[in-house]
Amino acid sequence: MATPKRIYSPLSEIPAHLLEQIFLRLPDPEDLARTSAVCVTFRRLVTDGSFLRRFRRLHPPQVLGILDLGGFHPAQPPHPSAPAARALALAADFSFSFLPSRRRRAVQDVRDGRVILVRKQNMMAGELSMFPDLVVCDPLHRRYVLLPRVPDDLVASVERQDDEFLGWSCEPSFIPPSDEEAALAEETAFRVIWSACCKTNMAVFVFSSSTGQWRHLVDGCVYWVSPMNNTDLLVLDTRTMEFSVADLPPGEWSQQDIAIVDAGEGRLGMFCVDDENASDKSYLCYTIRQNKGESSGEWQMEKISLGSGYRYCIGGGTEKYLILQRIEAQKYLSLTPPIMEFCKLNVRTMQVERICAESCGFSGSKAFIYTNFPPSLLSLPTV
Amino acid sequence: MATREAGKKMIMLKSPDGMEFEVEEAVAMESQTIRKMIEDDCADTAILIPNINSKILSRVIEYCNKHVPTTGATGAAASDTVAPAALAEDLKIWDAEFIKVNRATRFDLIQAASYLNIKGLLDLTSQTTIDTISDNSLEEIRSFLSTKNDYLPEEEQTIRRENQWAFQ
Repeated sequence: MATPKRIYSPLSEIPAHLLEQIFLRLPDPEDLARTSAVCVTFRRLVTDGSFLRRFRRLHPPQVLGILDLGGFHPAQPPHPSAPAARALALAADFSFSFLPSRRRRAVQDVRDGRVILVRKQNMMAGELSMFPDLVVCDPLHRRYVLLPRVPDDLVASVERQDDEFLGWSCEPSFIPPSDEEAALAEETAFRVIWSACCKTNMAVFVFSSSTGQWRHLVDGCVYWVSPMNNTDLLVLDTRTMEFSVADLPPGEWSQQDIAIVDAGEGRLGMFCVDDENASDKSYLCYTIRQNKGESSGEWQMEKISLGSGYRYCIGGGTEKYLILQRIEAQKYLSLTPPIMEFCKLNVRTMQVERICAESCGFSGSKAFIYTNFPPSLLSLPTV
Repeated sequence: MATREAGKKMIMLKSPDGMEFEVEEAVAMESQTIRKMIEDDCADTAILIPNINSKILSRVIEYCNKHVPTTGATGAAASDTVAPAALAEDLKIWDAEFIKVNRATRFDLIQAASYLNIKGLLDLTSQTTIDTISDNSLEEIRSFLSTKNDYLPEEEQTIRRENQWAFQ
Protein backbone atom coordinates (compact mmCIF):
# COMPACT_ATOMS: atom_id res chain seq x y z
CA MET A 1 0.00 0.00 0.00
CA ALA A 2 1.35 3.38 -0.91
CA THR A 3 2.07 5.67 2.01
CA PRO A 4 -0.25 8.62 1.90
CA LYS A 5 1.52 11.82 1.02
CA ARG A 6 1.48 14.10 4.02
CA ILE A 7 0.84 17.74 3.30
CA TYR A 8 3.11 19.99 5.31
CA SER A 9 2.33 23.60 5.90
CA PRO A 10 5.41 25.45 4.72
CA LEU A 11 7.13 27.59 7.31
CA SER A 12 6.86 30.63 5.06
CA GLU A 13 3.08 30.48 5.48
CA ILE A 14 3.42 31.12 9.18
CA PRO A 15 2.57 34.75 9.97
CA ALA A 16 5.55 37.07 9.94
CA HIS A 17 5.39 37.94 13.63
CA LEU A 18 5.68 34.24 14.49
CA LEU A 19 8.64 33.71 12.19
CA GLU A 20 10.26 36.65 13.93
CA GLN A 21 9.68 35.00 17.30
CA ILE A 22 11.43 31.89 16.01
CA PHE A 23 14.31 33.73 14.34
CA LEU A 24 14.96 35.80 17.46
CA ARG A 25 15.73 32.52 19.23
CA LEU A 26 18.49 31.58 16.77
CA PRO A 27 21.70 31.26 18.78
CA ASP A 28 24.32 32.86 16.49
CA PRO A 29 24.59 35.69 13.95
CA GLU A 30 25.67 33.19 11.28
CA ASP A 31 22.35 31.38 11.68
CA LEU A 32 20.63 34.64 10.89
CA ALA A 33 22.85 35.30 7.87
CA ARG A 34 22.05 31.81 6.53
CA THR A 35 18.35 32.33 7.23
CA SER A 36 18.46 35.43 5.04
CA ALA A 37 19.64 33.28 2.13
CA VAL A 38 16.79 30.74 2.40
CA CYS A 39 14.13 32.79 0.62
CA VAL A 40 13.04 36.34 -0.10
CA THR A 41 10.43 36.38 2.70
CA PHE A 42 12.97 35.33 5.31
CA ARG A 43 15.46 37.92 4.11
CA ARG A 44 12.89 40.69 4.32
CA LEU A 45 12.14 39.70 7.91
CA VAL A 46 15.67 39.40 9.24
CA THR A 47 17.02 42.52 7.54
CA ASP A 48 14.26 44.68 9.00
CA GLY A 49 15.75 47.33 11.28
CA SER A 50 13.51 46.74 14.28
CA PHE A 51 14.07 42.98 14.06
CA LEU A 52 17.85 43.45 13.95
CA ARG A 53 17.70 45.74 16.97
CA ARG A 54 15.78 43.13 18.94
CA PHE A 55 18.21 40.40 17.87
CA ARG A 56 21.18 42.54 18.91
CA ARG A 57 19.61 43.18 22.30
CA LEU A 58 19.17 39.46 22.91
CA HIS A 59 22.61 38.37 21.70
CA PRO A 60 26.00 39.58 22.93
CA PRO A 61 28.40 40.82 20.23
CA GLN A 62 31.18 38.39 19.28
CA VAL A 63 34.85 38.72 20.10
CA LEU A 64 36.29 39.26 16.63
CA GLY A 65 39.90 40.15 17.31
CA ILE A 66 42.52 42.30 19.00
CA LEU A 67 43.52 45.86 18.29
CA ASP A 68 46.96 47.01 19.40
CA LEU A 69 49.91 49.09 18.18
CA GLY A 70 50.44 46.61 15.36
CA GLY A 71 46.90 47.06 14.03
CA PHE A 72 43.99 44.63 13.94
CA HIS A 73 44.52 40.93 14.53
CA PRO A 74 41.42 38.91 13.60
CA ALA A 75 40.46 35.87 15.66
CA GLN A 76 41.92 32.74 14.10
CA PRO A 77 40.77 29.12 14.04
CA PRO A 78 39.96 27.27 16.20
CA HIS A 79 38.31 30.32 17.74
CA PRO A 80 34.61 30.03 16.79
CA SER A 81 34.36 33.57 15.42
CA ALA A 82 37.33 33.18 13.05
CA PRO A 83 35.27 33.22 9.79
CA ALA A 84 33.33 36.31 10.89
CA ALA A 85 36.59 37.95 12.02
CA ARG A 86 38.15 37.39 8.60
CA ALA A 87 35.11 38.97 6.96
CA LEU A 88 35.47 41.94 9.31
CA ALA A 89 39.18 42.33 8.55
CA LEU A 90 38.34 42.50 4.83
CA ALA A 91 35.45 44.91 5.25
CA ALA A 92 36.84 47.29 7.85
CA ASP A 93 39.62 49.87 7.71
CA PHE A 94 41.77 49.54 10.80
CA SER A 95 44.42 51.83 9.34
CA PHE A 96 41.85 54.62 9.76
CA SER A 97 42.62 56.06 6.34
CA PHE A 98 39.10 57.49 6.22
CA LEU A 99 40.02 60.13 8.81
CA PRO A 100 40.51 63.64 7.41
CA SER A 101 44.04 64.19 8.66
CA ARG A 102 46.86 61.71 8.34
CA ARG A 103 48.37 62.73 11.66
CA ARG A 104 49.55 59.76 13.68
CA ARG A 105 47.00 58.56 16.15
CA ALA A 106 47.03 56.01 18.93
CA VAL A 107 44.21 53.74 20.01
CA GLN A 108 42.96 54.59 23.50
CA ASP A 109 39.94 52.36 23.94
CA VAL A 110 37.70 50.00 21.98
CA ARG A 111 34.13 49.10 22.78
CA ASP A 112 30.98 48.05 20.89
CA GLY A 113 32.69 48.47 17.52
CA ARG A 114 33.90 52.00 18.33
CA VAL A 115 37.48 53.10 18.73
CA ILE A 116 38.86 56.18 20.54
CA LEU A 117 41.95 57.59 18.86
CA VAL A 118 44.13 60.33 20.27
CA ARG A 119 46.27 62.53 18.04
CA LYS A 120 49.90 62.01 18.81
CA GLN A 121 51.45 65.23 20.00
CA ASN A 122 54.51 66.68 18.41
CA MET A 123 56.69 67.49 21.38
CA MET A 124 59.35 69.04 19.15
CA ALA A 125 56.81 71.56 17.92
CA GLY A 126 55.97 72.48 21.49
CA GLU A 127 52.67 70.59 21.63
CA LEU A 128 52.00 69.52 25.16
CA SER A 129 48.36 69.46 26.04
CA MET A 130 46.87 67.44 28.82
CA PHE A 131 43.85 66.88 26.60
CA PRO A 132 44.90 66.38 22.98
CA ASP A 133 42.33 66.01 20.20
CA LEU A 134 40.20 62.88 20.23
CA VAL A 135 38.34 61.06 17.47
CA VAL A 136 35.74 58.35 18.00
CA CYS A 137 35.36 56.20 14.92
CA ASP A 138 33.72 53.08 13.55
CA PRO A 139 36.36 51.38 11.39
CA LEU A 140 33.84 48.99 9.86
CA HIS A 141 31.57 51.71 8.50
CA ARG A 142 34.41 54.21 8.05
CA ARG A 143 32.61 56.86 10.06
CA TYR A 144 34.00 59.18 12.67
CA VAL A 145 33.15 61.95 15.10
CA LEU A 146 35.76 64.57 15.99
CA LEU A 147 35.27 65.31 19.65
CA PRO A 148 35.41 68.98 20.64
CA ARG A 149 38.29 70.00 22.85
CA VAL A 150 37.75 69.87 26.58
CA PRO A 151 36.68 73.46 27.35
CA ASP A 152 39.25 75.75 28.89
CA ASP A 153 37.26 76.34 32.05
CA LEU A 154 37.16 72.61 32.69
CA VAL A 155 40.85 72.25 31.92
CA ALA A 156 41.59 75.14 34.25
CA SER A 157 40.22 73.13 37.14
CA VAL A 158 43.22 70.80 36.88
CA GLU A 159 45.85 73.00 35.27
CA ARG A 160 46.63 75.26 38.20
CA GLN A 161 48.88 78.12 37.22
CA ASP A 162 50.69 78.06 40.56
CA ASP A 163 51.46 74.37 40.18
CA GLU A 164 54.81 73.52 38.68
CA PHE A 165 53.66 69.94 38.19
CA LEU A 166 51.76 70.02 34.92
CA GLY A 167 49.49 67.13 35.72
CA TRP A 168 48.74 63.80 34.32
CA SER A 169 45.76 62.60 32.34
CA CYS A 170 44.73 59.01 32.03
CA GLU A 171 43.64 57.35 28.84
CA PRO A 172 40.15 58.29 27.75
CA SER A 173 37.78 55.35 27.73
CA PHE A 174 34.22 54.51 26.80
CA ILE A 175 31.46 54.19 29.31
CA PRO A 176 27.96 53.03 28.36
CA PRO A 177 25.44 55.72 27.43
CA SER A 178 22.74 56.55 29.93
CA ASP A 179 19.42 54.81 29.46
CA GLU A 180 17.81 57.98 28.09
CA GLU A 181 20.60 58.48 25.57
CA ALA A 182 20.43 54.86 24.49
CA ALA A 183 16.67 55.15 24.02
CA LEU A 184 17.10 58.18 21.75
CA ALA A 185 19.86 56.84 19.52
CA GLU A 186 20.14 53.16 20.12
CA GLU A 187 23.19 52.32 18.00
CA THR A 188 25.09 55.57 17.93
CA ALA A 189 24.97 56.75 21.55
CA PHE A 190 28.26 56.62 23.43
CA ARG A 191 30.09 58.40 26.21
CA VAL A 192 33.77 58.97 26.79
CA ILE A 193 35.26 59.48 30.21
CA TRP A 194 38.55 61.29 30.66
CA SER A 195 40.23 62.07 33.91
CA ALA A 196 43.25 64.00 34.95
CA CYS A 197 44.97 65.03 38.10
CA CYS A 198 47.62 67.43 39.26
CA LYS A 199 49.27 67.59 42.65
CA THR A 200 46.31 69.07 44.41
CA ASN A 201 43.32 68.31 42.31
CA MET A 202 41.56 65.69 40.30
CA ALA A 203 38.90 66.04 37.64
CA VAL A 204 36.74 63.70 35.62
CA PHE A 205 35.15 64.78 32.36
CA VAL A 206 32.54 63.04 30.34
CA PHE A 207 31.66 63.55 26.72
CA SER A 208 28.21 62.50 25.60
CA SER A 209 27.36 61.91 21.95
CA SER A 210 23.83 63.18 22.53
CA THR A 211 24.86 66.63 23.79
CA GLY A 212 28.16 66.81 21.91
CA GLN A 213 29.72 68.39 24.99
CA TRP A 214 32.13 67.67 27.78
CA ARG A 215 30.87 67.95 31.33
CA HIS A 216 31.01 66.40 34.78
CA LEU A 217 28.26 63.83 34.70
CA VAL A 218 28.50 60.07 34.84
CA ASP A 219 27.32 56.86 36.35
CA GLY A 220 29.35 53.72 36.72
CA CYS A 221 32.73 53.28 38.34
CA VAL A 222 36.31 54.10 37.41
CA TYR A 223 39.42 52.76 39.06
CA TRP A 224 43.02 53.55 38.80
CA VAL A 225 46.21 53.09 40.67
CA SER A 226 47.36 56.28 42.25
CA PRO A 227 50.36 57.52 40.27
CA MET A 228 51.80 59.01 43.43
CA ASN A 229 52.61 56.01 45.51
CA ASN A 230 51.49 52.83 43.71
CA THR A 231 49.94 51.39 46.83
CA ASP A 232 46.48 52.88 46.66
CA LEU A 233 43.64 52.25 44.34
CA LEU A 234 41.54 55.30 43.63
CA VAL A 235 37.92 54.40 43.19
CA LEU A 236 35.41 56.84 41.82
CA ASP A 237 31.81 55.90 42.33
CA THR A 238 30.43 57.99 39.53
CA ARG A 239 26.84 57.51 40.64
CA THR A 240 27.57 59.53 43.74
CA MET A 241 30.65 61.27 42.27
CA GLU A 242 32.55 60.30 45.38
CA PHE A 243 36.15 59.26 45.46
CA SER A 244 37.49 56.73 47.84
CA VAL A 245 40.94 55.30 48.30
CA ALA A 246 41.19 51.56 48.64
CA ASP A 247 44.34 49.78 49.70
CA LEU A 248 45.86 47.45 47.19
CA PRO A 249 46.84 43.98 48.28
CA PRO A 250 50.30 44.05 49.87
CA GLY A 251 53.15 44.56 47.40
CA GLU A 252 54.26 47.06 44.82
CA TRP A 253 51.81 47.72 42.02
CA SER A 254 51.82 49.94 39.02
CA GLN A 255 49.32 50.54 36.27
CA GLN A 256 51.45 48.46 33.88
CA ASP A 257 51.51 45.31 35.96
CA ILE A 258 47.90 44.90 36.74
CA ALA A 259 44.50 45.01 35.21
CA ILE A 260 41.39 45.97 37.08
CA VAL A 261 38.15 44.80 35.59
CA ASP A 262 34.51 44.65 36.46
CA ALA A 263 33.98 41.09 37.66
CA GLY A 264 30.21 41.43 37.64
CA GLU A 265 27.72 41.72 40.49
CA GLY A 266 29.34 44.93 41.71
CA ARG A 267 32.70 43.29 42.25
CA LEU A 268 36.17 44.44 41.30
CA GLY A 269 38.69 41.98 39.95
CA MET A 270 42.39 42.72 39.99
CA PHE A 271 44.80 40.56 38.03
CA CYS A 272 48.55 40.17 37.70
CA VAL A 273 50.84 37.52 36.24
CA ASP A 274 53.38 35.72 38.38
CA ASP A 275 56.09 33.95 36.41
CA GLU A 276 59.03 34.87 38.63
CA ASN A 277 58.91 31.66 40.60
CA ALA A 278 61.20 28.68 40.99
CA SER A 279 59.20 26.40 38.71
CA ASP A 280 58.78 27.30 35.05
CA LYS A 281 55.04 27.60 35.52
CA SER A 282 53.11 30.84 35.15
CA TYR A 283 50.30 31.78 37.42
CA LEU A 284 47.57 34.30 37.12
CA CYS A 285 47.06 35.88 40.50
CA TYR A 286 43.79 37.54 41.05
CA THR A 287 41.66 38.93 43.73
CA ILE A 288 38.04 39.83 43.61
CA ARG A 289 36.22 41.90 46.13
CA GLN A 290 33.05 43.78 46.61
CA ASN A 291 33.44 47.37 45.54
CA LYS A 292 32.52 48.84 48.88
CA GLY A 293 35.83 50.45 49.72
CA GLU A 294 36.55 48.09 52.60
CA SER A 295 40.02 47.60 53.95
CA SER A 296 42.63 45.47 52.23
CA GLY A 297 41.63 42.58 54.44
CA GLU A 298 38.93 41.99 51.86
CA TRP A 299 41.41 41.18 49.11
CA GLN A 300 41.82 37.44 48.99
CA MET A 301 44.57 36.43 46.59
CA GLU A 302 43.84 33.41 44.41
CA LYS A 303 46.09 31.73 41.87
CA ILE A 304 45.32 29.79 38.76
CA SER A 305 47.99 27.94 36.84
CA LEU A 306 48.53 28.99 33.23
CA GLY A 307 50.74 25.96 32.60
CA SER A 308 54.38 26.00 31.66
CA GLY A 309 56.36 26.84 28.54
CA TYR A 310 55.05 30.37 28.01
CA ARG A 311 55.83 33.82 29.28
CA TYR A 312 52.68 35.81 29.90
CA CYS A 313 51.81 39.43 30.25
CA ILE A 314 48.53 41.26 30.62
CA GLY A 315 47.62 43.27 27.56
CA GLY A 316 44.60 45.00 29.02
CA GLY A 317 41.16 44.48 30.36
CA THR A 318 37.95 45.10 28.49
CA GLU A 319 34.60 44.74 30.16
CA LYS A 320 34.38 41.10 31.17
CA TYR A 321 37.57 39.97 29.42
CA LEU A 322 41.23 40.22 30.24
CA ILE A 323 43.73 39.98 27.39
CA LEU A 324 46.70 37.74 28.04
CA GLN A 325 49.65 37.87 25.66
CA ARG A 326 52.03 34.93 25.64
CA ILE A 327 55.28 33.96 23.99
CA GLU A 328 56.92 30.57 24.13
CA ALA A 329 59.43 30.77 26.95
CA GLN A 330 62.25 29.30 24.86
CA LYS A 331 61.76 31.91 22.15
CA TYR A 332 61.51 34.75 24.61
CA LEU A 333 65.12 35.83 24.28
CA SER A 334 65.80 34.48 20.79
CA LEU A 335 66.76 36.73 17.90
CA THR A 336 64.07 35.54 15.50
CA PRO A 337 60.80 37.40 15.97
CA PRO A 338 58.70 35.31 18.31
CA ILE A 339 55.08 34.39 17.77
CA MET A 340 52.87 36.26 20.16
CA GLU A 341 49.57 34.68 21.04
CA PHE A 342 46.61 36.66 22.27
CA CYS A 343 44.23 34.91 24.64
CA LYS A 344 41.15 36.13 26.38
CA LEU A 345 40.26 35.29 29.92
CA ASN A 346 36.61 35.50 30.83
CA VAL A 347 36.75 36.99 34.33
CA ARG A 348 33.34 35.60 35.23
CA THR A 349 34.21 31.99 34.35
CA MET A 350 38.06 32.10 34.46
CA GLN A 351 38.16 30.30 31.10
CA VAL A 352 41.18 31.07 28.91
CA GLU A 353 40.66 30.92 25.12
CA ARG A 354 43.18 31.67 22.37
CA ILE A 355 42.05 34.39 19.95
CA CYS A 356 44.93 34.71 17.50
CA ALA A 357 48.69 34.70 17.02
CA GLU A 358 50.93 37.19 15.29
CA SER A 359 54.63 37.09 14.63
CA CYS A 360 56.49 39.88 16.37
CA GLY A 361 53.62 41.44 18.21
CA PHE A 362 54.28 44.47 20.30
CA SER A 363 55.03 42.68 23.49
CA GLY A 364 53.60 44.38 26.51
CA SER A 365 51.81 47.07 24.53
CA LYS A 366 48.24 47.79 25.42
CA ALA A 367 45.80 45.67 23.49
CA PHE A 368 42.03 45.89 23.16
CA ILE A 369 39.44 43.27 22.40
CA TYR A 370 37.25 44.25 19.48
CA THR A 371 33.70 42.96 19.84
CA ASN A 372 30.95 43.56 17.35
CA PHE A 373 28.39 41.85 15.18
CA PRO A 374 29.91 40.53 11.98
CA PRO A 375 29.39 42.37 8.69
CA SER A 376 27.23 43.01 6.86
CA LEU A 377 23.77 41.93 7.96
CA LEU A 378 23.90 42.72 11.68
CA SER A 379 26.49 45.43 12.07
CA LEU A 380 24.95 48.88 12.12
CA PRO A 381 26.97 52.10 12.15
CA THR A 382 27.96 53.00 15.71
CA VAL A 383 28.79 56.69 15.37
CA MET B 1 -7.24 16.78 49.40
CA ALA B 2 -10.86 16.35 48.42
CA THR B 3 -11.87 19.73 49.83
CA ARG B 4 -9.07 21.42 47.93
CA GLU B 5 -10.25 19.78 44.73
CA ALA B 6 -13.74 20.99 45.42
CA GLY B 7 -12.58 24.55 46.01
CA LYS B 8 -10.97 24.84 42.59
CA LYS B 9 -12.44 27.37 40.20
CA MET B 10 -13.13 25.95 36.76
CA ILE B 11 -13.09 27.75 33.42
CA MET B 12 -14.71 26.66 30.18
CA LEU B 13 -12.59 27.02 27.02
CA LYS B 14 -14.42 26.76 23.70
CA SER B 15 -12.81 26.07 20.34
CA PRO B 16 -14.29 27.51 17.12
CA ASP B 17 -15.34 24.01 16.02
CA GLY B 18 -17.71 23.86 18.98
CA MET B 19 -15.81 21.71 21.46
CA GLU B 20 -15.76 22.70 25.12
CA PHE B 21 -12.97 22.01 27.59
CA GLU B 22 -13.44 22.45 31.29
CA VAL B 23 -10.12 23.29 32.93
CA GLU B 24 -8.98 24.58 36.27
CA GLU B 25 -8.48 28.32 36.31
CA ALA B 26 -4.83 27.88 37.36
CA VAL B 27 -4.20 25.68 34.31
CA ALA B 28 -5.87 28.13 31.94
CA MET B 29 -3.83 30.95 33.45
CA GLU B 30 -0.61 29.34 32.18
CA SER B 31 -1.65 31.31 29.12
CA GLN B 32 -0.82 34.96 29.68
CA THR B 33 -3.55 35.91 27.23
CA ILE B 34 -6.22 34.07 29.22
CA ARG B 35 -4.72 35.26 32.50
CA LYS B 36 -5.18 38.85 31.37
CA MET B 37 -8.77 38.20 30.32
CA ILE B 38 -9.54 36.69 33.73
CA GLU B 39 -7.71 39.40 35.68
CA ASP B 40 -9.40 42.16 33.69
CA ASP B 41 -12.72 40.47 34.37
CA CYS B 42 -13.35 40.11 30.64
CA ALA B 43 -13.99 36.41 31.01
CA ASP B 44 -17.33 34.86 31.74
CA THR B 45 -17.43 31.27 32.72
CA ALA B 46 -16.70 30.36 29.08
CA ILE B 47 -13.94 31.78 26.86
CA LEU B 48 -13.96 31.34 23.10
CA ILE B 49 -10.47 30.71 21.74
CA PRO B 50 -10.54 31.82 18.09
CA ASN B 51 -8.30 30.24 15.43
CA ILE B 52 -7.32 27.23 17.49
CA ASN B 53 -9.14 24.02 16.61
CA SER B 54 -10.15 21.47 19.20
CA LYS B 55 -7.33 19.07 18.32
CA ILE B 56 -4.64 21.69 18.93
CA LEU B 57 -6.45 23.23 21.91
CA SER B 58 -6.63 19.87 23.65
CA ARG B 59 -2.86 19.45 23.16
CA VAL B 60 -2.24 22.94 24.56
CA ILE B 61 -4.39 22.16 27.61
CA GLU B 62 -2.48 18.91 28.05
CA TYR B 63 0.75 20.93 28.08
CA CYS B 64 -0.57 23.49 30.56
CA ASN B 65 -1.91 20.75 32.82
CA LYS B 66 1.52 19.22 33.01
CA HIS B 67 3.33 22.52 33.54
CA VAL B 68 1.06 24.23 36.03
CA PRO B 69 3.25 24.73 39.12
CA THR B 70 0.75 23.69 41.79
CA THR B 71 -0.50 20.59 43.48
CA GLY B 72 -3.43 20.72 41.12
CA ALA B 73 -2.56 17.77 38.91
CA THR B 74 -4.11 14.49 39.80
CA GLY B 75 -1.82 12.36 41.90
CA ALA B 76 -0.65 15.51 43.63
CA ALA B 77 0.18 13.64 46.82
CA ALA B 78 2.99 11.84 45.03
CA SER B 79 4.51 14.98 43.54
CA ASP B 80 4.72 16.59 46.98
CA THR B 81 7.49 14.21 47.90
CA VAL B 82 9.48 14.43 44.66
CA ALA B 83 12.61 16.62 44.59
CA PRO B 84 12.46 19.68 42.27
CA ALA B 85 15.41 18.46 40.17
CA ALA B 86 13.75 15.11 39.53
CA LEU B 87 10.54 16.92 38.72
CA ALA B 88 12.33 19.12 36.15
CA GLU B 89 13.93 16.05 34.61
CA ASP B 90 10.55 14.37 34.43
CA LEU B 91 9.11 17.44 32.69
CA LYS B 92 11.94 17.45 30.16
CA ILE B 93 11.25 13.84 29.22
CA TRP B 94 7.57 14.57 29.04
CA ASP B 95 8.22 17.62 26.78
CA ALA B 96 10.38 15.55 24.45
CA GLU B 97 7.53 13.06 24.03
CA PHE B 98 4.96 15.82 23.68
CA ILE B 99 6.76 17.49 20.78
CA LYS B 100 6.99 14.28 18.72
CA VAL B 101 4.39 15.49 16.25
CA ASN B 102 4.36 16.14 12.53
CA ARG B 103 5.37 19.52 11.15
CA ALA B 104 1.85 20.73 10.46
CA THR B 105 0.84 20.09 14.06
CA ARG B 106 4.03 21.69 15.35
CA PHE B 107 3.40 24.86 13.34
CA ASP B 108 -0.17 24.96 14.59
CA LEU B 109 1.18 24.61 18.14
CA ILE B 110 3.63 27.48 17.54
CA GLN B 111 0.73 29.68 16.43
CA ALA B 112 -1.37 28.63 19.41
CA ALA B 113 1.50 29.18 21.86
CA SER B 114 2.09 32.61 20.42
CA TYR B 115 -1.58 33.65 20.45
CA LEU B 116 -2.14 32.32 23.95
CA ASN B 117 1.26 33.65 25.05
CA ILE B 118 2.63 30.53 26.71
CA LYS B 119 6.38 31.08 26.76
CA GLY B 120 7.44 27.55 27.65
CA LEU B 121 5.36 26.05 24.87
CA LEU B 122 6.65 28.60 22.36
CA ASP B 123 10.25 27.78 23.33
CA LEU B 124 9.56 24.08 23.03
CA THR B 125 7.78 24.25 19.67
CA SER B 126 10.30 26.66 18.07
CA GLN B 127 13.35 24.68 19.12
CA THR B 128 13.17 22.08 16.34
CA THR B 129 13.04 24.80 13.70
CA ILE B 130 15.95 26.60 15.34
CA ASP B 131 18.02 23.41 15.42
CA THR B 132 17.19 22.81 11.77
CA ILE B 133 18.49 26.24 10.76
CA SER B 134 21.55 25.98 13.01
CA ASP B 135 22.71 22.57 11.90
CA ASN B 136 21.96 22.27 8.20
CA SER B 137 22.86 23.54 4.74
CA LEU B 138 20.57 25.94 2.89
CA GLU B 139 19.15 23.17 0.73
CA GLU B 140 18.41 21.04 3.78
CA ILE B 141 16.81 23.96 5.59
CA ARG B 142 14.54 24.62 2.62
CA SER B 143 13.56 20.99 2.38
CA PHE B 144 12.94 20.62 6.13
CA LEU B 145 10.84 23.75 6.25
CA SER B 146 9.11 23.14 2.89
CA THR B 147 10.21 26.61 1.83
CA LYS B 148 10.62 27.43 -1.82
CA ASN B 149 13.79 29.13 -2.96
CA ASP B 150 12.43 32.19 -4.75
CA TYR B 151 15.78 33.88 -5.30
CA LEU B 152 17.20 34.41 -8.75
CA PRO B 153 20.45 32.44 -8.97
CA GLU B 154 22.54 35.60 -9.12
CA GLU B 155 20.70 37.11 -6.14
CA GLU B 156 21.44 34.04 -4.07
CA GLN B 157 25.08 34.19 -5.16
CA THR B 158 25.34 37.80 -4.01
CA ILE B 159 23.83 37.05 -0.60
CA ARG B 160 26.11 34.06 -0.17
CA ARG B 161 29.11 36.16 -1.12
CA GLU B 162 28.18 38.98 1.26
CA ASN B 163 27.80 36.55 4.12
CA GLN B 164 30.43 34.05 3.11
CA TRP B 165 31.67 33.71 6.68
CA ALA B 166 28.31 32.24 7.69
CA PHE B 167 28.59 29.36 5.23
CA GLN B 168 31.90 27.91 6.45
